[in-house]
Amino acid sequence: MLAEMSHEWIFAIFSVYTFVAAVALTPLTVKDFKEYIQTLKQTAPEEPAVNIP
Amino acid sequence: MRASMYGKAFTFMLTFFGYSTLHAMRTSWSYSKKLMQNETGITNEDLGFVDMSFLLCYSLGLAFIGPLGDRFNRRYFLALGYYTCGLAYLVFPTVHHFFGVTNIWVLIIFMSINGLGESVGMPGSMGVLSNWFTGKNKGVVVGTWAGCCNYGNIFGLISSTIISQYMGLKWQYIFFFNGMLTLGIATVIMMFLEEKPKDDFVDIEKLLNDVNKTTINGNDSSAESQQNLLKVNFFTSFKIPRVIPYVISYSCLKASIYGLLFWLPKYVSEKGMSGYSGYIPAMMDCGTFLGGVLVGFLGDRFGKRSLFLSPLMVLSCLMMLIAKFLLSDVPLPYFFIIFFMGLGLGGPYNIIGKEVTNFRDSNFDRPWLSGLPEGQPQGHLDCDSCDRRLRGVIRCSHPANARRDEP
Repeated sequence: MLAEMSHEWIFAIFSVYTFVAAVALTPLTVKDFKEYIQTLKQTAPEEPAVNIP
Repeated sequence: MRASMYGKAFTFMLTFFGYSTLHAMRTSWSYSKKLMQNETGITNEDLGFVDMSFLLCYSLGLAFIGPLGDRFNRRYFLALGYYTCGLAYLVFPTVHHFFGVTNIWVLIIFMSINGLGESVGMPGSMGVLSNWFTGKNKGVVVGTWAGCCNYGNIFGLISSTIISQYMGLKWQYIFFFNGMLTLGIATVIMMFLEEKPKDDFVDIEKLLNDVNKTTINGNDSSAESQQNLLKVNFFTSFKIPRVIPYVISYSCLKASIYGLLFWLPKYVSEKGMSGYSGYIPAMMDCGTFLGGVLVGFLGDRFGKRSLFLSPLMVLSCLMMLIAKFLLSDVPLPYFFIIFFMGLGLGGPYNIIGKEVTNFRDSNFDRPWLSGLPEGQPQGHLDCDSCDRRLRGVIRCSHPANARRDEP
């Protein structure tokens, strides 16, 4: 079927495949992103305590 | 005693160039499509059937012939596969050149045989590499070795361009060159490839010591874990986290990469840029290779490799849409667009491939788990042979398994 299509469309077809691949892994990417932000927050230096005389 | 550096380097180079010739054959085939069509009148539909039969036989070969590499000497296993695909690749151009045959069934049948022959390349090479390279460096070595796919693709495209454009020879000579090169590599493999280091006896001694320890302690944990491995089958493996998204994603990525590999040169030719039909697709492999390196680097830098997978694939997707809707027949933009397309595909492709390797290192049934995303039972492919021997020895020494393992 693909062979009968105009060669102009191969990029459109493969962009759909790639998009599906991206969507399938989006939850993992989002999860990793959240974990990375969480790690950044945890490693950020805490504000020094203010000593009130 | 360690395997000599010379032996390691020689084995690495031989398997590297061996497998790269297979990829060179594939890209030279896709490069020749348009030239072949012009001369023989083969239609797009015919070429589609040829590709389908080739890939079908290739995947079936990976599933059913690949695991046979564990049972035979890999030197002969690899050589036989390379001879098969080299000879099959030469049949159609030879009968066309000398007898004027243009029957599409000849092409379909022999490209199918070519696919079966090619299917031994990865399992056999990985098996040999696993014997020669152990320990911490194994991952780096296998990762570097994986660059042979890109090298082979670029080599196939450039050599085809030189033969057809600079030397002015017909498309048959592209086949002749790559087929003969594969036969040459097969001969070198047959004569010189060592399946494993000759001083491998040290490992066996270590294995026997390990077996003695487990038997003396009465804690046959390996046999127990072997029992656990068998609990996961094809259906239950889908319940394991990450398997389903990786299967879907890897399948789609592989479809895109192989689709572009097989059709991009023809696309470029039909766009009126025949002079660039070797160079522009080569940018795809440059991008794929650098994409893998880039994502590996960024993953190490941020400690999260999945962070970049979806964005890169979306980038690749955008590049494809730009190529479809915005680009005309001016070659220069294609070089950049195709490069970034490869960059976006190659990074995720390599990382998911790495995750497949991690599945193999998990406590689950390796062949099924790694076979699901890869489309091949890779657990058979590059399982550490020492590990397999150890398990084999343990199974034989275990009374419950003794009868089962008797010939």
